[in-house]
Amino acid sequence: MKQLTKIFKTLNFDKETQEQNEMILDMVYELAMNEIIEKEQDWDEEGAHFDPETKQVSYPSGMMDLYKKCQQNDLFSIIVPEKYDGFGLSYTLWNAVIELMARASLAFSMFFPSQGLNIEIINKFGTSEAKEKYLPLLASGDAIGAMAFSEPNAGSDISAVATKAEKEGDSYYLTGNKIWLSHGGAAGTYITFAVTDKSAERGRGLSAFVIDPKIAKENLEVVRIEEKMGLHGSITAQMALDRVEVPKENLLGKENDGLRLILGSLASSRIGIAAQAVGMSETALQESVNYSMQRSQFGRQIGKFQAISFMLADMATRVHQARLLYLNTAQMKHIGEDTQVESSMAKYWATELAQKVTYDAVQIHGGYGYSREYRVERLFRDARVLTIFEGTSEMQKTIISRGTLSRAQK
Amino acid sequence: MKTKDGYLTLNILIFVKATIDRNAPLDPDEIFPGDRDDKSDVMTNNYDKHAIEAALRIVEEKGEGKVTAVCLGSDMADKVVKEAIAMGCHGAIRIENSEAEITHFFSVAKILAASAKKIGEYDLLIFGMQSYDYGTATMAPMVAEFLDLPLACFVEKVSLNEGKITVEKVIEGGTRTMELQMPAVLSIASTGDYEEPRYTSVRRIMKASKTDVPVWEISDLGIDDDEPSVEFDDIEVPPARTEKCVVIDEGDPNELVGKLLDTLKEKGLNLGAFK
Amino acid sequence: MTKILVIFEVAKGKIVGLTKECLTVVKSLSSTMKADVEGVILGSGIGDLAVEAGKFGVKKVFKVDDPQFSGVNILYHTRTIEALIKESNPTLVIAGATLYGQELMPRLAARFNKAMFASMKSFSVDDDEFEGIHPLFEEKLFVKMEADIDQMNFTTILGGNNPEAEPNESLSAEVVDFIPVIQDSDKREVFVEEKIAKVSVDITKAKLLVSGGRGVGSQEKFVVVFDSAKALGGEVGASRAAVDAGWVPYDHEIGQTGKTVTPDFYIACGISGAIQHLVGMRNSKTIIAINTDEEAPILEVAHFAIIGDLHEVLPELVKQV
Repeated sequence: MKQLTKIFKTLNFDKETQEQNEMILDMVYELAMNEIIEKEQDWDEEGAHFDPETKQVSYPSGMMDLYKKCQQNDLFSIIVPEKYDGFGLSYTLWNAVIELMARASLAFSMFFPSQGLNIEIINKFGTSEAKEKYLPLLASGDAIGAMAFSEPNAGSDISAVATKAEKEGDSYYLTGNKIWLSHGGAAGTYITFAVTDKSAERGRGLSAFVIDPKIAKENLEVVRIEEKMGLHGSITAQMALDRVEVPKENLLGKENDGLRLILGSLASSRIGIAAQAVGMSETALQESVNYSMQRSQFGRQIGKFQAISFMLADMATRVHQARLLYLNTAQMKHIGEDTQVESSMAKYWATELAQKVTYDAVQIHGGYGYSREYRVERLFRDARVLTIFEGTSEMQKTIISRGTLSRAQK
Repeated sequence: MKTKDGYLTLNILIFVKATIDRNAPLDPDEIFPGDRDDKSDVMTNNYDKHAIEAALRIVEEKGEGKVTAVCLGSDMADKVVKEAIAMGCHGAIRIENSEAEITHFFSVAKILAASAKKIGEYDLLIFGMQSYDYGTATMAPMVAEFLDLPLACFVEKVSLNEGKITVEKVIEGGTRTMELQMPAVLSIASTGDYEEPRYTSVRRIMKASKTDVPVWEISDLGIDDDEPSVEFDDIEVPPARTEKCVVIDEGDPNELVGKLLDTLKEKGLNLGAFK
Repeated sequence: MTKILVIFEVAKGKIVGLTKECLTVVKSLSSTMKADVEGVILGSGIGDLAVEAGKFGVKKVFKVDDPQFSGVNILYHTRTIEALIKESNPTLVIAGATLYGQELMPRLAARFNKAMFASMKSFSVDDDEFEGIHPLFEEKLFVKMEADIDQMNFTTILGGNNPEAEPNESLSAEVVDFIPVIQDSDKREVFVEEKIAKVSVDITKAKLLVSGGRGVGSQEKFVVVFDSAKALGGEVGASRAAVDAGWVPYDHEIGQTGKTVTPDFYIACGISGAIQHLVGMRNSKTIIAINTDEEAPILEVAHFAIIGDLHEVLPELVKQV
């Protein structure tokens, strides 16, 4: 917490805003470290649920109670514009909130980046009807925002999306399959792509839509949920779309222009993932520090041996670096700068170092690090997904290198 | 109390204190917020949060009312005052305590009683049951005495009826129900109805940051300068334990117990002596 | 003549344990100060208790025996004791830092415009000064307090730091009836009722206690604590958390709002060791903690600790002992 506040002080917010920032971060820290972190192990052990009979999904017990507390504390309205029942606060604060949530539980923190992205995309590209209808719901948290991007044949290559959208009258009808859908079956809005012009070149015939499950009804169905290496408490679903109705007001931006529009916005969700990675790394670091000062071997606390203290120094430095990177990138975006490349840098860097930090944390814990009873065991498993989802490290490097190469001078 | 419209309107003053944060390192030379520079070392006395919760709930359950937070503190206490508003208090007053930071509970009680007098109108004066730092639990009783008011300490439940309040307070082994005439003084237990204080919310935080908190000077309160009859002297660090705990943590339960019993035997201790 | 006035607290028809701990302190103070010890006891139908009070080395017991005192009204107590103090002029007024003492004594002290020695871990007297140690930050630090002996002083004594004084059958004191003083303004506080959990077990005499806390998990799971205690020939204790959760009756509660115990063996299972619990058991002769958390505060007072699951360790323990 101290580190976060220190960095915020360097960001030049005015006195009143900074006071708000600090109070909000204090509140989120309390909620995360007093209540959410206590349930983290239970959620990992119980996992999310899917009933194949009713096709209903649910989160592990207690998760929605804490979600409600976040609603009561107005957390989902932080970056929603005031016009739509939000507070219009900084993107920087939003990501710091995500970091704090991820310190407690990666699974719980998954509500936030996608909520932020839904809010941003609908606000930027939604019709006025869509904005008026969905932004207040997202602001209050009454609707969980999800992204339905990946398909069996479209992962890193999002332009290979095959779900088709047929226009009939005032609506589009979407048919296809979506996988790796966080919050699938529980969300109130799904942002997705579908092919509206089959004849167009790769990627040029895609449109972006907001699927409303209340309109789609049974045509949007959960097929199964994934049993994963980690992140058990979060719903990751495969969903089938069978002529899912999407009214034309729910088209985002212009027809056939979907890919270009959305890819631009994805940059901002990457910063959220970087924040999650930093949150997890911070907890791994803290657990390792605590353990090192309490575990004694060969007559002294292992933290006093250079082998361990140097590992901790490296971990602490890496975490600090990754934190500065994501927060600064967020601040850049907040003041209106373009952060396409920087967001990819933040995501790539933080997620890769989370692998090393959680690995080292397990190592420092010795045998206990391999035991399900210890938090670092779960952090290690949970962290593995960070370099894969929301754009693999390889995709991030592609974006970064393109940005770098574009600066080539003749 | 009763307004023209027949609503029961209540004026509650809740006294809050800034203490060193539980998680901040404890330095025997710097035990007061005024000694520190870093605001993150300061927190609202956790017991006061239950008191704020009680004040807010009493007002919510009974109709109209106003809760004002009063805090004797330096500007380090600013965040405590704002937090009280962000939890739902309608306003706050800070009494400046930067110069010669007054910390003796006797003097503080005099100051708080005088501030209540200056505010003038109140139905309830509410305190946390003790403070995290000093923990003398003397505030509520002393202020009640200085203002000649009825008092109940360690209150777990409050209900209002027509100018009186019924309280349930903790006693050893149970609870005692008392009826008090208002105005009255209460200290709130950390268990019972108010054991989960509410969080602040973004909306209320925004409001708090825009709320002006008047700052009063102690010299304006008209208090006499008596030195307290009991003085505080040196702070002592508790002596380190001479014999540390023998920790047995390796092996399955069978081995763990075996090791324990062997160790006990070596020391001549027999757990089976009472079978 | 230097006098010490002890306030005898009565609850459930008995003199409260913490008053007896105070009397141990008073014994040493009175011998150093060469002071007379007087007691005051308030209630209704307390004739026997007034006589019993005399067995603790008190010269005189002021008895306030009146039906208006059948329910505890602290304002009545304050007013009456204030009148007694004005008549009798003690140098020191002392009581246990029970919930009653913590409400009564500061009121009394403030009435005489005095600060007080609040919640003393230790309290003693020197040539011209009273001296006490008061815990800060939940006993992480301590502070010394001092006051001149030639003024009136008020003090409350924290529980768990002194043994209870034993009554001496050969002693007796003059019991004097003291008329209660109650003003109209004191009737702003009205006693309505008390709800006290019925006591059926006295665990304070047990030589071995198996005690369970929040870590036990549920009422059903608490059976292992009862079974182990029975098998080892001891009694069952509990932390406030377990009692509040309804897993075990209040009779078994150990700590600030429960009993203080000093058995030969105290086995703390799934108890984290919050200070409110520690004050009730830390003077036990051998403390064994069974906990899954190596960092639990209970290990700071425990002599031995097993890091493991109490549900597996306790049955093993019973088997092997």
